[in-house]
Amino acid sequence: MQAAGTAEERIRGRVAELETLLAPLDARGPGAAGGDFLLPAEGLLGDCRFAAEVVPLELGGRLERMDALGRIVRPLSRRNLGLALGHGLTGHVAATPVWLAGNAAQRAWTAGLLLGGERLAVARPAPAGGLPREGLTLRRDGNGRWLDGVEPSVCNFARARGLTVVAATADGRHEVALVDRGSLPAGALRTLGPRDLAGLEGCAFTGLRFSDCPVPAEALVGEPEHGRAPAVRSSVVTRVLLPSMLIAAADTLLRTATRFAVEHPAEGSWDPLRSPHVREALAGALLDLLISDSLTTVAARGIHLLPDRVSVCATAAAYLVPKLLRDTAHALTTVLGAAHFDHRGRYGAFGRMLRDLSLLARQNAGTMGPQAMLIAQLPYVARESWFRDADPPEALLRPWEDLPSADLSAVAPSSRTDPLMPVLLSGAGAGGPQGALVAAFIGELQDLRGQFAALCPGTGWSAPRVLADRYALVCAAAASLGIWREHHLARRDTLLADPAWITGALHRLGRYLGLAVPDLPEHLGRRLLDAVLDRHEQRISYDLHEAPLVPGPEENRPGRTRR
Amino acid sequence: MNGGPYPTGADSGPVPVAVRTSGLLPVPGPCGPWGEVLEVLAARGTVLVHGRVAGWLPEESADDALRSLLGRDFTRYDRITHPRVRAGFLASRLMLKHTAARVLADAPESVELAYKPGGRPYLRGCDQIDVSLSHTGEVMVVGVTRRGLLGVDVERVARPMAGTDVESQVCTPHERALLDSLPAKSRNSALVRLWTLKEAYTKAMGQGLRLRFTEFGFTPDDAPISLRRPDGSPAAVGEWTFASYALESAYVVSSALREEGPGVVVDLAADAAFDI
Repeated sequence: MQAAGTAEERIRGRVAELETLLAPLDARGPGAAGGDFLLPAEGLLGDCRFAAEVVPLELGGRLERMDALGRIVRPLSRRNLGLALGHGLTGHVAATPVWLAGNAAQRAWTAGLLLGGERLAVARPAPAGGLPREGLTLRRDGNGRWLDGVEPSVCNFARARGLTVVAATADGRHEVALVDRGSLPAGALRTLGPRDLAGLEGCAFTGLRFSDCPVPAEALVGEPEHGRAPAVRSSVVTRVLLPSMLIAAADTLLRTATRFAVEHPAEGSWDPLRSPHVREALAGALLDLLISDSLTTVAARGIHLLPDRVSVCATAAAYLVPKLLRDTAHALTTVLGAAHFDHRGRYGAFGRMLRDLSLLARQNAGTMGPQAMLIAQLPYVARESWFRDADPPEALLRPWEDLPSADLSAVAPSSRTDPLMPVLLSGAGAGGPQGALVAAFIGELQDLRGQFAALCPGTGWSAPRVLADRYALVCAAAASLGIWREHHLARRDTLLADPAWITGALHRLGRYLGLAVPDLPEHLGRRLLDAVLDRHEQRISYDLHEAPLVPGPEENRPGRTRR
Repeated sequence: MNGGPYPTGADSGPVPVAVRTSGLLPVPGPCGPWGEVLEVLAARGTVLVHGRVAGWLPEESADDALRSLLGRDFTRYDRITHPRVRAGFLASRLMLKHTAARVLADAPESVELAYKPGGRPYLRGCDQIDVSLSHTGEVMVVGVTRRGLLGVDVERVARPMAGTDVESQVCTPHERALLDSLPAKSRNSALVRLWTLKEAYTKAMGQGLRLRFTEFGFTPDDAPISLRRPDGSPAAVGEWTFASYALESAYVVSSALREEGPGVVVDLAADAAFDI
C-alpha cells in the first residue's frame, strides 16, 4: 500500500524511518564487535520488511525507483557496509535479471521468496574482494543444460534458498539461471566452506562448486540463445547501487573526520581546522561526494527516463565512483592522524569504514567489467553522438521530481547516444572561473573525440583505457554541471544551487584530468568548508538529498563552538 | 649499481638491521635489462628498480619527441627553469613510463602518467597495477605492484637529520626513545631509514607530507617492519608490508605496500574480452 504524498515525500519518509530505526544501535556500532550491531540490525530490518525494497511494486514489493533504492540503502551503508551488502545489494543483483527478463512464474517465485523473508544469492563472473574467478560455464548437450565450475565467494549463500547464476556459454555469451537449492540433485552443488574477507563483518561468503548440475529449461531467465543477454542488461541496472552505498560510507568517513577536527581544537597552526591540508581534505571530500552522487543519481534516474541510452552513464558511475571515494577516504586519514588506525571507540567508525570501503571499491575496481563496457561503447558514441545530440529531459537532472516507472525490458546493454555530453555543451559561455572550467572540459571532449576516432585494433593495451578513464571524469563533470544547473534554476535555497560547489567540483575533476586549471579561489574553499561544518552540526547527509540524520547515543557529546 | 650491502664504518654509521640487500634491481636506462624486473614482478607481485638521472635522459631531446613521451607532463616540464630540476623531472618520468610500459607490454607514449589531487602519480585507466616514484639528487627509484597500493622513497644515508629539528618533527615519542638508545654513530642512518619508511607509507596513501609523521611510526630494529601508533603499539596489522633496502653505499630505499586482495594474477598484456 502506498503512503500518501509525492514520491519524493515517500522516499524521504522511508529514509527517515530507517534512520530512526537503526540509530539506537549506533552506540554498538563503532564501539562494539560487528556482530553486536549486525544481529539486532538484521532483526529490525526484517521487522520493517526491508527485503521488499528490492521487489517491484507490481509484485507486492516497494521497489518503484532505482534512485530511491540508492537512497534507501544509505541509512544502512552509513552504519555498516556489510549490512547494506547483505540486505540491499545482494538481493537486488540476484533478482534484477528476473525482473528484467524472467517469465511470470519466475517473477512470482522470486518475489514470494524475498517477501517471505528468505534470501536470494547470486553467483556471477565479476571480481569480488580481489578474489580470482574461475568462472561458471553452462554447457548444452542432447540431454539438456549443465552447469559446471567454481565460484569462490558467494555472499549470503549460507542463508539463501534461491540462487541466480550467471554462467558463460560455449559461444562466449552469458546466460542467467534461477536455481532453487531445494530442487538440486545430490552432489550437483557443493559448498567449499566459508571465505574470510578481512572486513565486512557479518557478511558470509561461501565458495561453490557446480558439477554436472542440471539446469532445466524453466530455470533459464530470458529466452535462451535469443536476444540480448539479460546478464549484461541487468548489470546496467544494478551497477548504480554500489556507488550509492559507497557514497553513504564516505559520508560516515567525512562526518567522523569532521567530528574529530571539531573535537580537537588546538593553539595556532596545530588546530586542525586552521590547517590548509585539513581544510582541503574536508572540502575536497564534500566535493567528491557531491560529484559521485550527481553521476550516480543521473544514472539511476536514466534507467527510468532513457533506458536505451543510460548504459554509458551507469557504467561511468560504476567505474569512477569507487575509485574516487577510495581516494577521498585516504585523504581524510590526514585529518584523523593516528586515530585513523582505530576500529573501535569514538572515531572507530572511520577505520572500519575505510577498510570496508576499500574492500568493496576493490571489488569493482578493477573496474574491469565497467572499463570493458565503456571501451566497447565509447568509440561509437564519440563519433555518432557527441556534439550532435540534444539535451536530455530536465527530470534526469532534478532528483526531487517524479519519474515514470522503469521499463526494464527496454534497458539496452550499450548506449547509442550519450545523454550527458549535451549538458556539458549547454554550459558553454558562462562567465567567471566556472565558464573557463566548462570551456576546458569541452576542449577535453573534443580531444577525446579525435583520439577515439584514431583508435584502431593495433593501438595497444593502454590507449583505450586511458580514454575511457578520461571520459568517465568528463561524464562526472557533465552530471555535476547538470545537477547544479537545475538547482540553480529551480531550487535556489540549497548549497546545490551555489556556484561554489560546481566551480569546486569542476576544478577538482579538471585536476584529475591533468587540465591546466588555476587554483580554486580561496573564498570558494571557505564556503565549502563552512558547508561541511554546517552539515555536520545540523546532521544533514553529505549528498544531494540533504537527508536529516538521527544521531546515535554516542554522538551526543558537546563539541566546541564554531569560530 | 646493484643494491649492495651497507658499508660499515662509513660516516653514515653502521647498517641498521632489517635492511635488505636484494630485490631492488638496477635498470641503467630505457634499454634495460628488463628480464629480471618482469620475472620478479611475476613471482612476487611487486618490483623496485633504480637508476641514475644521466642514464635516463634521452639523447634526442627535441620538443616533439618529448611532448609525445611526456604527454600531459610536458607542460609542467616546460615550465621548469632550473636545469638540474628539469633533468630530474624528465629522467624520473621517463623511467617510470618505460617501466610501466614494459610491464604492460605497451609503448611508453601510450601509458599516461596522471596525478591525484594530492599529487600522487598513477597510471590512468590501469587499476591493475600501481606505481610510485622517488628521486634524490642523481638517484631514482620506481616501484610497480599488482598487489595493491605502493609507495617508495629514496634518501641519502648521510643526510643530516639526527639532532636537528627534523627529529622532533618526524618521530613519535616511541621512536625517539628507541633512537636515543642507539649508539650515536648509527642514530642518523636509523633516522633516515625511518624517514623513508614514513615517506613510503604516506605516498602509498597519496598523502605525502600531509599526514603528520609524528602520528605513526615504525620500530628501527624489527623484522618484519611493522606500522606502529605513536606510543609504539601495533597499528593496522596485516594490511601493510614494508621493506628497506641499501642502495650502493650511500642511499636507503624503503617501500610500503598496502595489500588489497590475494594478488589476482591477470594477464595484463592480453586484451580483455568485451562482455557485450
